[in-house]
Amino acid sequence: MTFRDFLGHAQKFLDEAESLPEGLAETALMRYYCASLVFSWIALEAFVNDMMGDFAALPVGLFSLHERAFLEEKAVEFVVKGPDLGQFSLSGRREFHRVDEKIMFLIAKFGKGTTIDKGSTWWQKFEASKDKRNKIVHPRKDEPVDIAAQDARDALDVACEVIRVISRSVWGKEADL
Amino acid sequence: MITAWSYVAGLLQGDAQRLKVHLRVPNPAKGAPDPLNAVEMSRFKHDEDPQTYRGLGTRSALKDRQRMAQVFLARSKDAGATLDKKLLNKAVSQVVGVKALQKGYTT
Repeated sequence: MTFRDFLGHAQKFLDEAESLPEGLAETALMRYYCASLVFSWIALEAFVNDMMGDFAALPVGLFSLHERAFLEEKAVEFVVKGPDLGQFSLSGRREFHRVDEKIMFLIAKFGKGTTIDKGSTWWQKFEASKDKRNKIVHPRKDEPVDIAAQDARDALDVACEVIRVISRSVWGKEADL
Repeated sequence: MITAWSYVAGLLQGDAQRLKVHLRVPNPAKGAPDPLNAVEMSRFKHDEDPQTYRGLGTRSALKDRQRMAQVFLARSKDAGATLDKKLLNKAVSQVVGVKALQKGYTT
């Protein structure tokens, strides 16, 4: 599935919630909102990971070791045996990074001078939506999951907006959503 | 398709081993009836592509020729390689990645 499929699922869950009969319990509606919000974030992550994959597919040597490790989400290790003894190299161990870090990297490295303004509207909305997503995917009993229709709509808007910002910055053209 | 194939044939004139692989018809990918894996190619779409994109090898615009040339180049590196989804994805990723780098990057 591509990021577009996931965006489609997010939209579909929102549409379905809106077509449900009125007076339905809030918990019933929240299932749809949560699903929609999570699909929006999956879409964004799919897009970002695929773009990282495009650069990771390029020949070794084009990027520094740390950049290569970041692109492939692998750890850098200090080699203590074998022919590369005493050097740093890419280990087989996975080292995952947060989606916001990947966005920062993609724009800083391939954005041709564009930078992220953390005070900008899109970044602020991104952070707010990320907090909502974290409440769903990392639930705690003392932090109730309270997701409304607007949160799901915001997440979808944020995913689309961030995808547009990254594609414009890296490819020089907006992704066709 | 043909222009990309013949371009790669020219490009590999200095590498007899890869040229030999390139000139040989590949085995069909798993589940594919044809060596070119036409179904997978027609389904192919990169995130960068418009939603109306009709797949690899269906048009002869510069972008499509570049992608097909990279597919053939990638395949020529491994005598046992088939034109499966993984190879197509990697080859097109390389083209998209190089084109993005070409527009500028921070060292």
